Amino acid sequence: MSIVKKAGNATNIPRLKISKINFYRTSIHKFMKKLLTSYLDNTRYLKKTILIMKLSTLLLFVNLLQISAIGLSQTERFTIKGEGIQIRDLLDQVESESDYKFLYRSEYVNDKQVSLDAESVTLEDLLSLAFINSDITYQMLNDKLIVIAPKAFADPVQDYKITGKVTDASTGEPLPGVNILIEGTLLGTISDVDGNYSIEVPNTETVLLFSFVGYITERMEVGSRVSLDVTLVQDIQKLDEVVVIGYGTVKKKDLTGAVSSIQAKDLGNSTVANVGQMIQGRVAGVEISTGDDGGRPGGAMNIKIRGTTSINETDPLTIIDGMEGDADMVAPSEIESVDILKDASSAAIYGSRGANGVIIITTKKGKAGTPRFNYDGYYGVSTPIKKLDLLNASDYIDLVYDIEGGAYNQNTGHWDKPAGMPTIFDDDAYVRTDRVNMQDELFRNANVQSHSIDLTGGTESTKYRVSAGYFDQGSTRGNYNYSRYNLKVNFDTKIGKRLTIGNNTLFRHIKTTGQEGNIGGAIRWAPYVGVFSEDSPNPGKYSFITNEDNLNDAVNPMTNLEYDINNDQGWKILTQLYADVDIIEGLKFHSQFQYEYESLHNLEYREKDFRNGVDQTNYLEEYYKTANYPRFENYLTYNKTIGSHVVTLLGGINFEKGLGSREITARGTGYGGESIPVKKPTAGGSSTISNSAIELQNSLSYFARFNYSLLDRYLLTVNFRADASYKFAPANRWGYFPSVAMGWKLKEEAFLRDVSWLSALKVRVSWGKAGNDKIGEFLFNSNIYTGGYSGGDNIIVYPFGLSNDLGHAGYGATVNAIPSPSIRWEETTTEGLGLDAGFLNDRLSVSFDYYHKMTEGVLIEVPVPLSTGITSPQVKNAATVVNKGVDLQLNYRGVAGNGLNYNLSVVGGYNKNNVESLGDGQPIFGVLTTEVGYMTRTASGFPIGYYYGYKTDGILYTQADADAYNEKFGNTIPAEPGDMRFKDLNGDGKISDADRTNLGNAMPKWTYGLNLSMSYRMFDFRVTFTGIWGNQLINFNRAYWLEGGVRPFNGSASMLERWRFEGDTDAKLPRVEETDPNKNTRFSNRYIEDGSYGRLKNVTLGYTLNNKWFRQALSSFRVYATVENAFTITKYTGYDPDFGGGDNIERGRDEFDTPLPRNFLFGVQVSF
Amino acid sequence: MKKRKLIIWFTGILALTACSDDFLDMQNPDAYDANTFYVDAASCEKSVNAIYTIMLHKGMFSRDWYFNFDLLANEAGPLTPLQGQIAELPRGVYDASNSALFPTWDRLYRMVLRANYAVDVVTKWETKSDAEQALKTSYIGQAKFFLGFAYYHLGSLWGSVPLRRSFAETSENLNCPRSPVNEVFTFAEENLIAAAEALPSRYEDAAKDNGRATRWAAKAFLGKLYIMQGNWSAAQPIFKDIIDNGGFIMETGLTGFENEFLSVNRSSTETIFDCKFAWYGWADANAYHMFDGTELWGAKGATSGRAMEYGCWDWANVNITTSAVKKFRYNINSTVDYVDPRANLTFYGDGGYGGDMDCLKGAYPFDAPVTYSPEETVAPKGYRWKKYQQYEAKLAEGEPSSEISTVITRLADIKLLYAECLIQGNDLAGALTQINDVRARVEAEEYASLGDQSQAMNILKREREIELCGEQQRWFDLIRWHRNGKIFDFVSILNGEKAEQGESANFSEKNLLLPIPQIERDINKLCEVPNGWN
Repeated sequence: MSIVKKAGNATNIPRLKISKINFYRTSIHKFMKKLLTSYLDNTRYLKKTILIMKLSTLLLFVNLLQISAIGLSQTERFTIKGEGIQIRDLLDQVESESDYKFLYRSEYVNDKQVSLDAESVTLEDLLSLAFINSDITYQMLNDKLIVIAPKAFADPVQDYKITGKVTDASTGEPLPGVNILIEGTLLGTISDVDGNYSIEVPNTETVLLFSFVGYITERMEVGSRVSLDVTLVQDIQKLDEVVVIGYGTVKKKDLTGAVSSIQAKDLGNSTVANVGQMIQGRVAGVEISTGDDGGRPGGAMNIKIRGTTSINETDPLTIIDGMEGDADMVAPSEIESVDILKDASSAAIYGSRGANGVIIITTKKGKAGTPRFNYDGYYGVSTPIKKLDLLNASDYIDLVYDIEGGAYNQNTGHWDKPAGMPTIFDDDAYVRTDRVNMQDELFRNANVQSHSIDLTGGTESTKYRVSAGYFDQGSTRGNYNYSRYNLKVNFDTKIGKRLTIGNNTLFRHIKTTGQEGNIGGAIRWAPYVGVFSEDSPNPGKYSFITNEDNLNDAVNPMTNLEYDINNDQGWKILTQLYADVDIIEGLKFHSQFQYEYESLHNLEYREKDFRNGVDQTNYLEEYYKTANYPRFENYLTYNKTIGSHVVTLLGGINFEKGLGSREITARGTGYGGESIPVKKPTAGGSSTISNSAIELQNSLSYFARFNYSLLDRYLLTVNFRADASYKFAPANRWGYFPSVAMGWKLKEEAFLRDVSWLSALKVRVSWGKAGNDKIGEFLFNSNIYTGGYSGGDNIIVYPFGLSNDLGHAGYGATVNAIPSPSIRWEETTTEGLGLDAGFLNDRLSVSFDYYHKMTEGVLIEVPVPLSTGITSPQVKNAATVVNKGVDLQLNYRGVAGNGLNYNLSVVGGYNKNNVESLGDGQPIFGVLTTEVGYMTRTASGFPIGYYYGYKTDGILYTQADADAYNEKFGNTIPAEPGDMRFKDLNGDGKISDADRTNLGNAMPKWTYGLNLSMSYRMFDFRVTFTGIWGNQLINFNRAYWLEGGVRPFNGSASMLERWRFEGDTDAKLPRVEETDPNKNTRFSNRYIEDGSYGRLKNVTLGYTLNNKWFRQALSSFRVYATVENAFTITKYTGYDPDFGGGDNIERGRDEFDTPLPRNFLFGVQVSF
Repeated sequence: MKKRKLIIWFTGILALTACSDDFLDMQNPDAYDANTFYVDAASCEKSVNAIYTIMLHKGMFSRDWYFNFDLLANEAGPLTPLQGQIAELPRGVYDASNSALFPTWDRLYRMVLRANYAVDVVTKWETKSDAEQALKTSYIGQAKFFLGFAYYHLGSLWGSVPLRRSFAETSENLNCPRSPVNEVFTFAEENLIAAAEALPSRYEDAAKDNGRATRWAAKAFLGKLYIMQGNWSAAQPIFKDIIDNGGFIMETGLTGFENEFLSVNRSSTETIFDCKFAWYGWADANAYHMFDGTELWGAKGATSGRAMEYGCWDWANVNITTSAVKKFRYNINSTVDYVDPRANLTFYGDGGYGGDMDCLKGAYPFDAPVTYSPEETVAPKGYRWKKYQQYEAKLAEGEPSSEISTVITRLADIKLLYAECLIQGNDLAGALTQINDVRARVEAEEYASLGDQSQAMNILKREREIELCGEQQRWFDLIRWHRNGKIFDFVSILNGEKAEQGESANFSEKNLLLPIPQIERDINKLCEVPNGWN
């Protein structure tokens, strides 16, 4: 029987005797546990969802205050009379007549009847009467919540004592407040603040159930053990999981849009260097590639959410704790969760900035309690993964002779030395001896380390968290080094009943030194020349080679590494003061002022020296930039539940009125003396301001949202945002971005309620618009043109007069563009259909989304006819881009028993990009390269930036082949044996520009990821495998340098398979020929390679030390080892297939990008 | 009550932060606003100066113009260093995609844009004094001169072309159909007439304004416009007016002729219109701006690449053709194989045609014409350009920073054109005077008679070929003579000369017009070229 009996009145809270605490606690927590698991089993058990929230609160309450008991009201009276009253009806009636709520499992009360004749009795008496001959009893959870359960649960039988500790499987942190129950009884206990517990059990067959909100319940047989440590695995689909959406949160189960959420806890340790790496392979429909900088440490990741919506910038918006900012403002270890708003219905609340999706980063915050200190750090080695296979010295010399016109000697297999070669080639043995592979010099192992500490604590009203992070990584190429310092302070305090004020401050300092080193130079290098040479006049005796002496002018990459100084520093602070006011129940006001300040500095410096045969002047260049962006944001939120209607309203304003940024570069050269004595700019020499710029940034936005939920089944979200951008003329300044989304929780419907294998089912439909204004400034206005040197001096001059001095020159001012006054926002309309399902008690969950994203009015530079005289292309909203695809996410939580838990998640995304219309139909070409001409093109009917070039059709092995080819296509410049045969794709009888065609594109069809995490007792193991499929890459290195065969540079070992002699049918590459009359190097499918890859991104094995000694000193101690980029499966022949930066119309070109390294890391996580 | 008050308070605070979007009206920190810029003489003058600057661009007189028209007209011939599609021009095998020709098209249209724009902004200028009004008249006159100048060349070279009459029209119709050539010429004529009326005869402050278009420059191109259309009688009085009233003087003697093509020509008394060049030094300028860097490379580029590119001791991209050289030795009166004294000032290399045989570097390598081979780029042999070169004063150019003005038209040109009008009007005596005037200045033997009309035209043709050799006049002469009654057959002349030089060429009637650039056809949806050429 319950110990709660006949309390005097509702406000009388009796203290319990100490001896009874355990029992009380046990029974309370048994109910908790039953409640939670029952909820998962059968949602009917809960009469009102709201109770779950109360339950969570209660758990916390119990954990913190240990115990308190509450009695039933003695004043409220009930009258119930009748024969064969269903217990269920009885409880319903009490609920309807009072504020009491009951929690029970249907099976306990179903078919139970009672006959009553109660007149004006207290509830306690009523329930006692009702259950007197029954096997069920009741228990108060708080003053309004009563739980019904079988009496058998309350029988205490205790013999053996078991002790142990409960910890989080992923973080190793102790879990306080975990319910530990003896299966089949009401007996149990909870873990203390350090996760420790002790419980008396009847026998060795006893099974203990460990349960905790948000974690998967663990079932353990006691056996002969006296100590039993348990790790609990987080439940991804946990009950109250909330998803952060713009300006608020929503429960995942009530979500109507396409939002992917990643909790840091699910990631285990965080050896990732940045947020991009954190998301890679974990979110369906997000393509993450190593950015423009390649694998350079600190390089930004290139993130595309559901395809490329525009030819303009398509980076998603990043919000950190409600502040617009860069992801690197926060150390990865400080991240609590990352939420990715993928569809317009979710992102529309961010209106103008949301068209490319939104990444919301929520950082860890202060927690009430005694101060807790954590250290998280790792140290490791980065190693280069791959080097290219180049020609050795002897084969290289053959290549040189071949290019210079020497003949192939079939007897020796070598090329004869042609006449007129520099004298160095007289010594055949010398030049055919390998002295260096410059790649070995340039590529090296580097250190990588990360350390972060945080301190968190506070009281119920005031909480704080301070943290500091340090990350340092050297490049595996050259002596480049990147280090980042992050500081973070969170503080909030509640003042009185209504007001909370707080501050979030993020500070970041980035410092880079050294250089990555020139891969091009390393590859082209003549291998018979060592790194150093005694007679070299270069500083440090670094060797150098020249066209005159070596027929090769590759620059020794090692000289510059040692003698050029290039240091970058960047400081950024993002700080926010906010206030939250609870105006009345449900109505909240939030106000925040955000200030962002950034300062950048770069120093380039070189002393005067005699390098590579040339007198190099000294120079010094300094670049400074300061920027500040104040932002102010206010919004009201109103939350109201009326019966089965739940409504949330949000309305707010955001404006940015800032100074923007200013920058300047000062450059001085030719300072007197042998060197610049002090590394700062001084007068003297030739000093110039080589760059200066001002950037402005103002905006104004209004936003509103309406959330509505009916019967907890039908969900509706309506967003609206209005944004004003200064980049458009006043008439077109405002963009309006509405969205609507609906959700239907089918599982709540009667026809699915009792389907036990299906634990959740929800469909979502959405429609919404978001905008983009990432184009140049003041295009709508007519601006005076004084020369194409932005911000510089007027350089339109004409030398009037009788003398030629500048003083008599006339200056000009005119226009070179037609203003584009009608330009307006790019608008992306997304239609989406989503399905979320849970099976087997949510052990298996599946999420599926289909989307159709149409970006209309893409701002493009429409070429204007030459005959206008206008040189700047006109900007028009003149293209339409469609992305459509599917996102699929599968998650399976497995518990194998004996402490083995595992979680497997698979994500996959398919996307198809197509330009539906483009201006007047005039295609936009990418950059014109001197080596191979144009490579990419954007045209209607094709994906953005697809590769555009010729198709080859083998090699002309013989003179007869060449003659036939020349004859057929009437070549004015005849092809010769060994040349490439190109295809006449348009069939006009000649090989011309018109034969170029679609050769693929950089956008993957599929992105996928696979994550496995396992924990077994003290061990944890994680694997992340990511990849893309169905994209192509331009191996530009091959195009000119490695296989171009037009310059006597060292090349790829594949050059051994070049055409050598008439009828050389073994040839796989064309002949080498300096003038390349047949344009064998022209851009063709020769250089297009399959870019698909699968990569074992991360493997981590962790061990949490948990012996007595440690437990006394530390609350948690975990060690782990990680291998990053363990292996890659790909057909790509370059250094690394994972690069994807660059402009959208120019992606996919691998031009000596830094390959990603393989990292071996060892880390420690400690808290005390 | 209290709740209501709170709600009102906070809604009020929220509403207060709402504000007008006026703060989004920002000023461009990088450029002036065109709507408020042109308000006085200084700013309006800048709109006009910007038109002149086009002459310094690639495609115009800093580069391409000399290559294009000297190579097309077989006055210059390609040498090995001459690369790219320019080399297609002298063989007559260029087509619409030729990259050497579209810069000229492009820059002439940029000239049109800037001229139309200047007319637009200067017209709106509210002057406050007579002096300002005079400037306003002059500015509009200069802008209209360039409209006439540009359309004269566009119409002559390409015939029917898009006609952009005003800035507003250009802005509103980026795509524009081709207008018939007579409309193009009419528009040029209107503007040249208006310019001739508005412009001064000369500028008071020569130190400041020398080089600006005068009334006489406008008249010279008006006359050229008429004879391009075969209307010699309309041109005749205009040329006469220039000769009689323009005040231009041919400096006498061979030195006078020589100086017309050296840097002293900046203040020449003979020049009617030219493109002036100046080298401001590396601190302010970039000598290589002619490779499309004018107004772009952060420097005040205002030099000509010609001396560097033509120079035998420099890049030696071209030679002077043997056909051009051979014209300097002819029979006159009773003299057989008379060697014209201008040969010595026009080219190096003798071979019996009178070229100069030494320069500051020393004796010229050979005195006989030879075939050029690729190795000979450094030590040139055969006939090379002397006109516009500075080898009598310096060993080499070193960099393309020649300050020699490019003479666009001068008194001798106008006198010979006047002579042509007289011949066409059968005033052979009058023509004889004009031709002998030009010859007398260089102390060449004067003609006793021009013979009959046809013989007179032959003499006139040769006289223009000698006097104006390397001045990009021949192409315009050849096409107008051919078009207007086939006085001379352009096709047989060019193909014949090439054959004689041992080269092949493929000129035909279609080459009378240059092909409409492919790049214009690709973008300008209304520009129709049914035959794919012009």
